[in-house]
Amino acid sequence: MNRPCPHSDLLNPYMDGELPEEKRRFVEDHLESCLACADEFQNLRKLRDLLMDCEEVSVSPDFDRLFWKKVDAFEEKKLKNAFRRWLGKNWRLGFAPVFATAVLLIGTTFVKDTRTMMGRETMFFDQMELFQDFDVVNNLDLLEDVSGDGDLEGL
Amino acid sequence: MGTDSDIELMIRFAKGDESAFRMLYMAYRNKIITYCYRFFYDQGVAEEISQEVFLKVYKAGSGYRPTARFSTWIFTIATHACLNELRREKYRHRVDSIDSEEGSAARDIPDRGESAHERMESRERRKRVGAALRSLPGNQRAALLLREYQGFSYKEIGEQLNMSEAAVKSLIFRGRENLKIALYSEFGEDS
Repeated sequence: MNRPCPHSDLLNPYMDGELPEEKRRFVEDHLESCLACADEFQNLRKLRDLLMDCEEVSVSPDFDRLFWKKVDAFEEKKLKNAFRRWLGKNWRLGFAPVFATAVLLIGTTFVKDTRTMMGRETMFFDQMELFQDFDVVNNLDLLEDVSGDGDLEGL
Repeated sequence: MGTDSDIELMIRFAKGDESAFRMLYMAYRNKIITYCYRFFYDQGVAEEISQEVFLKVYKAGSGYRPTARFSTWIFTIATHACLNELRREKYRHRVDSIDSEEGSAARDIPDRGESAHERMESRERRKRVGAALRSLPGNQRAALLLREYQGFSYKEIGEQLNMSEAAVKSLIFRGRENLKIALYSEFGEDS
């Protein structure tokens, strides 16, 4: 069994460009004379070639749409959380819309009742006017004349 | 710490410029998906994790403080997301998608004058490489992927995996040794 060369641990960082200049030159010289390291280095390069000979990866058409949907959901949640935090700090102000709604409801009910009552009176007076109109129409001489003669051509 | 243009874009986004985030998203989308894909060889998982990564970047927006190159930072997020996913029980029960075309985002590299037989051999070889990569422990896999495909230095990989440069060097060495064993048929009997 071949014993590994004591310098073989320099091969990986040498290939990765991680050695300082002095060591890099040492490895280059060493590879000229050490068959074991030269073989090992060839294998490392072959492995790199194998890894590089890989497929291109395509992105599915829905990727962007799904991502931006997640961003929108995050923004919505952030907004809700911000409102909750604001409400936590300004809870008195939070009652303002509730109070305003209550006032509005009470006010609306009150106005509605008043209008209903006023509405009834208005109807009564409207009907009185109708009766009056009806009387006037009934007492029109012109219509009596027409019905009496049965002849509308003279009009 | 770098002052690359991506950092400037992220700072613009931190100040409320959403178009800067869109530019970063477009610049890194494929890189991150490809990285995640090579971690799992599963398109569904890769895209799910990638979305998680970009959402984290988006959420980090206003609180972003540059401490490293932007690419180092975003790949750190991606690496941690991949390692977390690896730890999750559900992944172990997934159907192995590498042997089937379903769930695969991989496209064959466009025709390079190979015959049908050569193309099939290439495809089989890539599958073996993918399976060999997936057989590596998470940290070794991450270190190798970050080194080979993204070209990060040992120092940057150390920042991403929260370990020393010496530990990264050791991870990469062991990762390559394990890959050579897993791909012994490619290296012959000597190695």
